[in-house]
Amino acid sequence: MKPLSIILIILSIIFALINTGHIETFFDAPSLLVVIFPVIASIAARHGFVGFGHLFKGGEGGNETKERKEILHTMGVTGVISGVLGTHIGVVIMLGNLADPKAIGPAMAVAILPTFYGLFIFLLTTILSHLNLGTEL
Amino acid sequence: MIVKSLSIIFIILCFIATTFFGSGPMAFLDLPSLWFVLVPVLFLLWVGSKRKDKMTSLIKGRGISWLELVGYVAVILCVIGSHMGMVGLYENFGDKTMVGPAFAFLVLTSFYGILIFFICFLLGHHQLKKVAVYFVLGQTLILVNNMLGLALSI
Amino acid sequence: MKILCVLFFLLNIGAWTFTHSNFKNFFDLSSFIIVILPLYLAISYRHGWRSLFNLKFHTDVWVKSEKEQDDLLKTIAYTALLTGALGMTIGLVPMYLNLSHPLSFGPSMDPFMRISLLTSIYALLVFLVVVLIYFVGREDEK
Repeated sequence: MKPLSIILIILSIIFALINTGHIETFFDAPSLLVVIFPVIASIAARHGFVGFGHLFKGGEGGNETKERKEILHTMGVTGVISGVLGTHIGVVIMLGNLADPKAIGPAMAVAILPTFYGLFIFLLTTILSHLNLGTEL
Repeated sequence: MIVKSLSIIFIILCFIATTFFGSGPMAFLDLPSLWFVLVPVLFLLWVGSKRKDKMTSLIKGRGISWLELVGYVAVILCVIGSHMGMVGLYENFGDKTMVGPAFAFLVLTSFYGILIFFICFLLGHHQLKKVAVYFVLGQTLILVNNMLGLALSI
Repeated sequence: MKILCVLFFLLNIGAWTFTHSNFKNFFDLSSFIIVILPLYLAISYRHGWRSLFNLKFHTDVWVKSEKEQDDLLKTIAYTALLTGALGMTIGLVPMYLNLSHPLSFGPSMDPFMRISLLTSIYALLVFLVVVLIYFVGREDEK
């Protein structure tokens, strides 16, 4: 039941994206990279290389271990913050091209994307860190 | 220790590399906002190094560590700086020469404040108070709304 | 140590408002009242109207009511944030009401955007000072 609910959340977000009609604007490689690389590197920055081992090793009895919750918290907060920083960088980049007022809109749309990715990662890690993939109700 | 510092340097290099998609990292250096955020943070770090406790241990009787306090103070400075930039933006609405430095102050104080908060978070062993994340998220809203205001004024 | 820290921060902020920019209009009495008056009323409601004058944060011996002083500082911090948010919305509502045509944004924002921004600046400054007082200089006490 619990993995199904996570899949449903992801599908509903993708459905909302499709409903906007402009789903191709939502995929932008630099925005994705500015969020994904810091998230992966933050695990090593706060917990060392053993963090990756703790992340994938399940807990005993299906409960979340304390290290796994901390690692997921780190990933989530790093996602949000690098998303916000990526948006700031995008805004400053866009300010350099202010000569054409009509180009501000689409460039701003791309600039907000890192925040969207960061919040998405924060949502997933927050849900996963409270998830007990066990037998309790 | 080596792994941790290398990862933090890698993350900062990631952000610097993203700036190369536009005009390069020289656009991000602006003396007023650098002074506004860095001088109090450096002062707090100097005071923290003079204390008898380590920076990542909890302050006596309070629930957070000194490094965490430096991060939260950086976020508060970021919000204050962005509001000061907004005052400048809306006072000189339509005047192109004076709107520029004010908006740069807005964007760059938030950028540096959040960056320092991020570095303090990575260096410490604490879990964040949720309020700080909401402050940081509110900054994107402020930024986006003022971008709209700027676009309307020019 | 606390006073030095607080003064340093405020001087830094003050110096940058008055020097690097040419807007010297950061002071507004009405926004000051919007922030300070509910703050003082809330503090008097919870802790009594004399409590602000009894703050002893620069002596080297904490009086036995340390928990009350912590409560007082927490009340000031939370109320300051809420008052700042309140002031921001108080400024924004008339501004959006008077906004008619998109090209007249500049003049129509004039008094109200200032109120909203200045209330939030004052409230955040109070919050910053309280955070510094609360956390800095704890080693000076016994």
